[in-house]
Amino acid sequence: MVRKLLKHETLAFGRSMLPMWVILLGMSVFARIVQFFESDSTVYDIVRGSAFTVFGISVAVCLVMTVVVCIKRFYVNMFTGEGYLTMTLPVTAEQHIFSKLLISVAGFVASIIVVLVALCITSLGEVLVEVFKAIGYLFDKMYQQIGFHSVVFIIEFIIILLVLAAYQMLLFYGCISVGQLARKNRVLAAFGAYFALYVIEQILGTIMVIFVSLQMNWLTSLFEKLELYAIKHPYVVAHGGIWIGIGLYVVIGAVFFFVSRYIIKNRLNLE
Amino acid sequence: MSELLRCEHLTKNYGGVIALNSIDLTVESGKIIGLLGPNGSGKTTLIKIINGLLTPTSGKVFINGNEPGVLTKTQVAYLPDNSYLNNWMTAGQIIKMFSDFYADFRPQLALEMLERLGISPEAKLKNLSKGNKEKVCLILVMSRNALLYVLDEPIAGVDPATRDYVISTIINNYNPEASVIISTHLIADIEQVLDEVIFINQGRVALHKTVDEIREENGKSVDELFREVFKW
Repeated sequence: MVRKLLKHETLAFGRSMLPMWVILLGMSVFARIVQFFESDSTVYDIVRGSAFTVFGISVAVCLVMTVVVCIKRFYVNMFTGEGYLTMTLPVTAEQHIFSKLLISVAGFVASIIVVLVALCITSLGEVLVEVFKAIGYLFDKMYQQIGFHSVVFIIEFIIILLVLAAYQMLLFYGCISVGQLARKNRVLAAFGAYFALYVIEQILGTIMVIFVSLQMNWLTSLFEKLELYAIKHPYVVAHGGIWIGIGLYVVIGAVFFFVSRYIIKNRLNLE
Repeated sequence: MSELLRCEHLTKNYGGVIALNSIDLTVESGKIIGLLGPNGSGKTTLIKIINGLLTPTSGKVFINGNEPGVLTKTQVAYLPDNSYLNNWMTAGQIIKMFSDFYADFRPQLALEMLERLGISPEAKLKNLSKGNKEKVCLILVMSRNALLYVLDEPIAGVDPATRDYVISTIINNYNPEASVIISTHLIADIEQVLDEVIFINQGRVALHKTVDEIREENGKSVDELFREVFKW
């Protein structure tokens, strides 16, 4: 069933995003073409400047639109008129959430790839060659200095991006689902849930800072030991820190997943 | 005949408003049942609970012995009272989608019914008239070989010719071992096809009888009895 859900989700997501991706790539081609011609004309300068401005705006719109489409797909498909079909399909709540999450993350990655390709198109030629040379040089230097760890760091960076994208989506899903518990003004309730979570996050952060600043003996001693260990094994500590962060986001994301699942499975009220 | 649907003390509150008030109900297989009541009587609420779209405040509902869930969704074919399909999809794409998800869906039958209506599978729903759109929705539901068909207001807001089409489609395509629950307040149009009726009023079952019982015991048609029971 997940495979079938993914197929239909991809179709619906692609239908919303494909035109934007085509427009963005088209704008990048136009922005590149206007650079080919030299002219002293003020009008031409304006056209050239405008092409880059519109391209920049298109990049921003593409990224924002990706997030909006992901959120809209979940809300509209599950909790509005479309929900009458979605929620009567013989599919479990977790299959629904999982398929939407997977396509959202994949769509986010696709948008980033399209933006990168568009940026490459606008700088096609000597500039692009220089950019790739610089990236290659940086990677060489990094590899010479820290060896295999440089590859691991890059892989970890990609994993962090994917996990953060999934976490953010699950946060939105959780808030939208919690909003459905309200009798009226459910969209407003979803915003309320998001704001409440933000406040809780800030409070927890402040408590952590206060906790650390109390300079309790055992905590100070722990930090000292960690510092000594980091001097001897800096990469182990760096990788460890990254994976603790990833683990934390995975755990909190899982909480949002199960909150959404519980509400869809046990507290659904499509009115 | 076996028990297909059972409601036990089923209650639904919307805030302070009681939509269903401790309903006890049993529906057997092989029947066409009219769920009849005025607007706001609780018909749609009951139907949504059967389909797992609403969570009851208290009480339980069982479809073929199971509470609403993935299994019952493979057994119940539901026609909502509002437009619920994606307008950008073509009739053919929706048929493909139903084939993907419902093992009991008969795509060939759906395509044949579309052809008889002169609706191309390539036609987008947004380009169809309201009547044709409703016919497509009905075709999708009746092309399933379900145990229970639940149709919410299938003949509301359509012309008399379309009403006839809807009723004949229901009669000709439902699985005879299944039951069909038709919610409506246009009783005269469907009375001739009903085996049983359930009158629902202010969230309570006001009457549950066979059509023959009504005619014999009350000496009235269902439409006449409805007008008497729900007289203002």
